[in-house]
Amino acid sequence: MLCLKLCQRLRDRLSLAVVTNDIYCSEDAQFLIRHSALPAERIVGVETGGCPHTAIRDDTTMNEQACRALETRFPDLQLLLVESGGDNLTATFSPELVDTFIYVIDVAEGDKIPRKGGPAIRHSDLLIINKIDLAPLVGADLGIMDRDARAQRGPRPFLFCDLKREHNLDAVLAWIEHHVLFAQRPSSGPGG
Amino acid sequence: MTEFSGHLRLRAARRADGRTVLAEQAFRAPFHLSKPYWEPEARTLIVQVVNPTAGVLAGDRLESSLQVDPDAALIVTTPSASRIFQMRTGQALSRQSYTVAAGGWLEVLPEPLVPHRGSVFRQETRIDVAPGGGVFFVDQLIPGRLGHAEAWQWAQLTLETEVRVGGELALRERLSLSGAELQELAAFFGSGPTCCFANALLIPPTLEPVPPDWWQPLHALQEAGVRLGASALRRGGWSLRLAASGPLQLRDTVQEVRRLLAAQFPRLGANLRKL
Amino acid sequence: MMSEPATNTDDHAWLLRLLQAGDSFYPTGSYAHSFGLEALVQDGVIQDRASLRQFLFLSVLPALRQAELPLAAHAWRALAGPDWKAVGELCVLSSALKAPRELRLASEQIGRQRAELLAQLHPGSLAATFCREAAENRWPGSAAVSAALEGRVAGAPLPAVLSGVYYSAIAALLSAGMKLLRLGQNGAQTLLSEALAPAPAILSAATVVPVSEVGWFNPWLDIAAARHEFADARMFIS
Repeated sequence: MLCLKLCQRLRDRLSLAVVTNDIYCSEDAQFLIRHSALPAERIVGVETGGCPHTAIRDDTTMNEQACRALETRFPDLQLLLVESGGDNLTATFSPELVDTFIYVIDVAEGDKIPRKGGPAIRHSDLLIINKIDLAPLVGADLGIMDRDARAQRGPRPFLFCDLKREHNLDAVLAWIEHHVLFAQRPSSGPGG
Repeated sequence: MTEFSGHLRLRAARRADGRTVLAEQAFRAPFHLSKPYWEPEARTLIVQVVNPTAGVLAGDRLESSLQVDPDAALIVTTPSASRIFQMRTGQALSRQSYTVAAGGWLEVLPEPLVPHRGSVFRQETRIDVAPGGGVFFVDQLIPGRLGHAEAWQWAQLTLETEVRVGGELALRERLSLSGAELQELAAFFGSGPTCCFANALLIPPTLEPVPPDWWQPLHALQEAGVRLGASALRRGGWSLRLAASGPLQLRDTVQEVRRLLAAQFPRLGANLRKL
Repeated sequence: MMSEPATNTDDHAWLLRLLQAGDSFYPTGSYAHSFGLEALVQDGVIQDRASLRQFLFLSVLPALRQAELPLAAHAWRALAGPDWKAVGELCVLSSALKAPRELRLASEQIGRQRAELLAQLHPGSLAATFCREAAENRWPGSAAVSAALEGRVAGAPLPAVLSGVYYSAIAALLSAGMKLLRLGQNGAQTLLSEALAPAPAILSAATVVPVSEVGWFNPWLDIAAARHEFADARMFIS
């Protein structure tokens, strides 16, 4: 969902492309294509086999090749999103593959998730706690998630979002503009 | 053991009235004993070992042997730091052997070692505890004559400790480093230029279970300038390591560790009669 | 008494067996351990490639030289007889050298798994006898002793066995490092290459360490590992 929203909001201003990671299908790439996130030739699905987090951290060969192919095809590329799904708390991106790492967790997984820590919760450049609209339905306490996220991340930013309804999407975009695209500092940045 | 230039041999035994006395004692310079003191509250005999030469010199070969008989309780400490003096040639060796019988209790808490510039010192400690015997042993290290702005200047320091419980090896620790090597480690781990250490070993005197959260108050002692961790040994008992940013912090934290442990092991509440 | 292939330098069948035992695909349980690294990352001591490199050179390599490698060397020699009493004592020593419980259990669990798997892969071999002796005498598992056992069953020469111990210790740590730090896969490989450079000198020194001088500990690592045991959240068992 984050990839789709970013594509929709940024594609008119930036030359964009997306690499998605799926275990043995290209479901995520197809999702983006179906929703016309970008022209289909700007969306590449990597089938990682075994587990996606290996392909984004331990041996990124397939992702690097996909990125290089897109860069070759679109020399004007300004922003390349590399998506990898799954709810593995240990999943991180190799810093040799990506410049910036956004980690998205889901309120429906329970309000314990930030407390569990791990490298992505702690060290991602931006943590998004998504689907906050589901909190009352699943009995998740956003106050607990806020407290635990602060404890785990220290000064690193995090945002509560409902990306489907675009709640706080502007804050995510502002963060990307400033921290990834090095635009002027936005007047109100994410505070977590 | 004529190869040793100094020796200390003590055997603590329980008298019929329940008090511990020194049933045997023998020592030769540089060891000297002050008058033993019976600590009635902790029911432990306290012995201060004095080194009138104020330190260890090149060529010294020291042997100390402490034996605690069943149901006896002994504390051995020193009034001041053990200086390991500069050695232009040669080295010094200290061999320590502690034996504790079932029901016996031995606490060995000497003041810190202070290795001076160019010293080469090896300390070998062997501790044998029978099942049901208890030991609290603390080795402390100050990295030199800090008052003279001399630190980490020793040539080689080897500290070896082997602990056997019921005859089986429970722990072997071996630290053998030059001052420069340990200084580099201390700097990397952020403990500062005057970092001091304590290594403690606790073998509980009984086989009674200890509360599962016994470590919590100890670990809570970690603060700015103090790092401390305790962990269970393979044959019962615990190892406790402590790094402090200076000698005062070291002393205060060791005292606090002792005070906290005394809640579980009352003999550690004995007043060592030091300022 | 089981007969074992003698050290064989004419062919390299032993190399294949060592490669199998050293492969990350070989199920030893090692992936679940960081061997104290997570604790030091949580403490903020190790933050990046540079500090990980310092840790390797200041702590990991000396510990290999003075503890794990000499243990494996002595075990390899004791298994030649085999001298089971000496092998058992080395298992106990291996365990006793690790004061922090979780570092000790890491070695014990990995060692036990390696020995049992080896016995399963080579029924009727020295490994099967070792497992029987270990169970009867309640020896703790030891990663170093099991590596020596793998070497003996493979008929590998001592330098190859020690090279395997050296390599797998560093690779396991760096693999954990990639999960704990922003350390890229190529960054990890360059660090691995750097750490492999002093291997010949370290292996050579390790083979002459007498049993009485086996042992090396780092107080700060032990403190961090002791505290990690009780950490609220952690990714690795050690």
